[in-house]
Amino acid sequence: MTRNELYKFIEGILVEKFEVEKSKISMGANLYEHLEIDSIDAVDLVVHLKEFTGKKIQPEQFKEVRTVEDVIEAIMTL
Amino acid sequence: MKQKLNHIWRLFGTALSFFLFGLGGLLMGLLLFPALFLFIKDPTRRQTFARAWLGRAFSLFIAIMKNLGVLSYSIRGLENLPVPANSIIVANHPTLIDVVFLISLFPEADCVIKSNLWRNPFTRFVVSAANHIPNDDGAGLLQTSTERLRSGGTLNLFPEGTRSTPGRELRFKPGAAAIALRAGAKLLPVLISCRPMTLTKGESWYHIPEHKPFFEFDIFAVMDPSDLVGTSMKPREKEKALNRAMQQFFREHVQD
Repeated sequence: MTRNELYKFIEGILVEKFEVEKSKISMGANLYEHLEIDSIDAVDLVVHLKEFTGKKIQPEQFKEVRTVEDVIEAIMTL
Repeated sequence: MKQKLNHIWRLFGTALSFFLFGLGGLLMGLLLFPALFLFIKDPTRRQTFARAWLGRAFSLFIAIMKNLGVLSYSIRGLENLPVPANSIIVANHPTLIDVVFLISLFPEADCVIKSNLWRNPFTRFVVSAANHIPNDDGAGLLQTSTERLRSGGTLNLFPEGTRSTPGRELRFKPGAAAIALRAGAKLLPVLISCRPMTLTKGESWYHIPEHKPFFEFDIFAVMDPSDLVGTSMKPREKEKALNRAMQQFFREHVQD
């Protein structure tokens, strides 16, 4: 799985499930501030990412996550 | 002069209350609750016993504080009890001792509690015997709460997630609404007010108010989330709408 595939997946989830406008999404976009993702959305996003990647994601690993890039980095280092 | 004396007495009473709470907590946390693990092997029975004990201990603590003259209270809406199965008891959270009242009123309900209490030697046996829900893992918290409600449980929740900030409009986190809709649960609003305000976030115990604080608990009739939000919405939209509706309900009723 490449960073690019992961980005496309996250973008897809944000657009379809969380109704974020595609044009707002970028690597540096802050999930909570720019994309209006709340704590429940973040939990749901992690569930989707777990299913997609098949990796175990611990909540601590997501504590510091702010941007789309942070999400990708957090998953790539697993 | 009389007021001055009353102030000194309440300061003493408050100190004594905190001391007794600590002492009781110590005895229960290090003796009674660890003993429960030895003598009651069945987790369900242990949970029932632990929660009943906590409820009684907190009721006793409230009676002590009332008799010491450090607070008074009134509870309205008792006719709306018992809490039906699969309901969330939703309360605002102005002061430190709201939870003491709520546990004494609803001892059987699940509570969401800071996860570090499971690691603290004084509290770990209490929270694990009572089998409450730790707050650390978002997905786990959502799932556990939903499952317990679906299996007929009741859940105490402060949707603010922490004590209210005095002077600021109360703000609900989206979790309570999400849990309610995912579990298909009903809502039992409990409105808490305290005048004069005391033991707010960041306030030390010895900053006691000028007059004896009076706590009011208003237990409302059970509400069905589907009466609060449109049924045609998508699930996510519905959760956000329910959160706004609940927040609005509390904002309208809370007076500061």
